[in-house]
Amino acid sequence: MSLSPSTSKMLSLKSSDGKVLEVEEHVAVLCETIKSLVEDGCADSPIPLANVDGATLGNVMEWCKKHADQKASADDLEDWDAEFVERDQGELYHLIMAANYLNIKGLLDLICQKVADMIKGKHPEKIREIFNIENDFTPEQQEQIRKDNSWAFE
Amino acid sequence: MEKNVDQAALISADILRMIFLLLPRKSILMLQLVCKYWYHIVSDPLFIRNYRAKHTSLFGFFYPTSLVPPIAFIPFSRTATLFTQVACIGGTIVPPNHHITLLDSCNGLLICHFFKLSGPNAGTSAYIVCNPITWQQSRLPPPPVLAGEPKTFLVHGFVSGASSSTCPYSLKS
Repeated sequence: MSLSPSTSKMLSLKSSDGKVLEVEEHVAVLCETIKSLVEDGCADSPIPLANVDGATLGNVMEWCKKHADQKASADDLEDWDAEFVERDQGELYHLIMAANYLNIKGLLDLICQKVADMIKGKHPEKIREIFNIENDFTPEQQEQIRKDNSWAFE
Repeated sequence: MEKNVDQAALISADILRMIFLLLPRKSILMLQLVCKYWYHIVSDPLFIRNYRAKHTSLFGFFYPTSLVPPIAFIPFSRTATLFTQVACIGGTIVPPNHHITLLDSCNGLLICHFFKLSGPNAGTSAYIVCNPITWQQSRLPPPPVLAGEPKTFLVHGFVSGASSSTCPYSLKS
């Protein structure tokens, strides 16, 4: 049996905006970055997470908590994940950066797939619009790339 | 979360590569046109190599044998030996003294790189498209070489169809 919540040790995580979140250790160690701190015995004081804001940290820990739950079935997790990524782009952006910084492979893969799905089958103009990217090509450069790959743009 | 202006531009190249690796080939070509930053990421030889390794569309060959069962399977490998084996069984197209690398497949056709190891014209190479059923083959015109650039190519993808005017096949390098 895994650790029950009442016996699991609590860790304090401090976000970039100074919010402190108490999280059970068996949940927080889904973040490889935190896991190595715990293993090295450096996880006593509130762990400062300089690159993650409080709201994002809350979302990340919500994901970790669900995925640390041994009772959750694979199907259940899949449905839950699908709902978890239904967020606005700003939140997804913060989550992807946090998952990368905290080294949570499962969460990173999940959001990368979500972003890939947002890109798939879209034309460059639409992709720029979705991600708010400025087109820094000259019309000539653009024409040249199109010409080189004309078969793909038909 | 209100200021999501240009956040995509701030995502590190590492993460963008992870996302782009999940996309189909056609999307990758669309990405080239989004902005210069994305163009450089997807044109990078290392990215192309990783992408090809992940998205190979060729799994192997079935070929007839005199044994039981009469059909055997050779899994795809980028080394020439297995292909030469199959080509011999198919009875066949592989000229002597050549090193052959299978690059990709599309619509049942294979694209291979032939490199002449010895004899006259040793060291020359060619891209050949062949049909592994009929062993019909067709030599592609050599890819353009830019002045001052080393003579190496990375095949980006292989598409067969009637879209190109000079040749029914196109090699994306």
